[in-house]
Amino acid sequence: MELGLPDIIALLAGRRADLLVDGVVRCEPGVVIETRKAVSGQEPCFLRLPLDSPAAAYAYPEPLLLESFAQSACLLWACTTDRADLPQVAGVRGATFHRPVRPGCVLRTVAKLVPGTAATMFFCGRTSLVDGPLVMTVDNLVLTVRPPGAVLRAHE
Amino acid sequence: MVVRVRSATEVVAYTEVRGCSAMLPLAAVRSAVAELLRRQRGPGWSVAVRTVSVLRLFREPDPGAVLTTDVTCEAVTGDEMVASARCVCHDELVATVTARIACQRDE
Repeated sequence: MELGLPDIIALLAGRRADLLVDGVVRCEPGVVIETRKAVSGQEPCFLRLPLDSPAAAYAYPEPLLLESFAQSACLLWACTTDRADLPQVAGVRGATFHRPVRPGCVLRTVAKLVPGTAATMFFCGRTSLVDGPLVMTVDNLVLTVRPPGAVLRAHE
Repeated sequence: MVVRVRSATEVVAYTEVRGCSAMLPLAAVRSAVAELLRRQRGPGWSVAVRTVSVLRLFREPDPGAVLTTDVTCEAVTGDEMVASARCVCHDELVATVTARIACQRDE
C-alpha cells in the first residue's frame, strides 16, 4: 500500500502544521511502514538561525528525527486499527543517532510494529538516508490512546 | 524559549507549548544543554544528541502553556554528558528524559 500527502494529512489530522512525513512508499498493516521525508534548507528550524551560523547549526535537530519516526508509527497504527482516535507518544527507549542530517538529504524511515493491546502498541525501527547511511535507530517507541479526559484537556 | 543557568550542572528551560509535538521535552533539554555549553565554553560549540536512553511522556502539555524543564547534567567524558530532565506544566509532571549529549566544536 502506498499513501500520498493527502492521505497522510487525513490520517494525521491535527498534526498538519507539524507534519514530518512526505510520503509512504510501503505499508503493510500490522507489520511495517516505510516513509520518506525530504529535509530542506527552508525547514522552520533553520529559518530561525542567525545568518552567520556555522555549518554545524544546520544539522537537522534529533527531536525532529524522532518526531518523524513517531508520525510514521502513527500512520502504521492508523492503517492497522479501526480506531478513529489518534494515539499519542507515551515513551521512547533506546534511540541512537548515528550521523547528522543536512539540508538536501532524503530520509527513509522503516518502523515495525510489535503488537500490544488495543490501546497501546510498540514500534522499533530505523531511519537512514535514502542512499544508505544509517541516521537513527529506535529500540522501542510506545504509542497509546490516552483516556478521553486527558486528550480533551490537551486540546482545550 | 528562555533558559536560565543555575549552576555548572543545572539549567532550566521555559518553553511555550505550540503545536502537539511529543518531542518538545527533548527539544527543551537539547536547547538547555546548548545554552549551558555556550555559557561555559563560549561561542563556537554546539550540541548533538547521541542517545535518548529513556523518554517518558505522562500527558500532553496544554497548548499555550509554559513547559518548565529542569535539567541536571553529569559529565561522562570531556565532550559528552548525560542530561536528566523533568518537565512540568501547571505543576503537573509531563515528561522525564535521560539522554546522552555530545559537545562538539563548530568547524
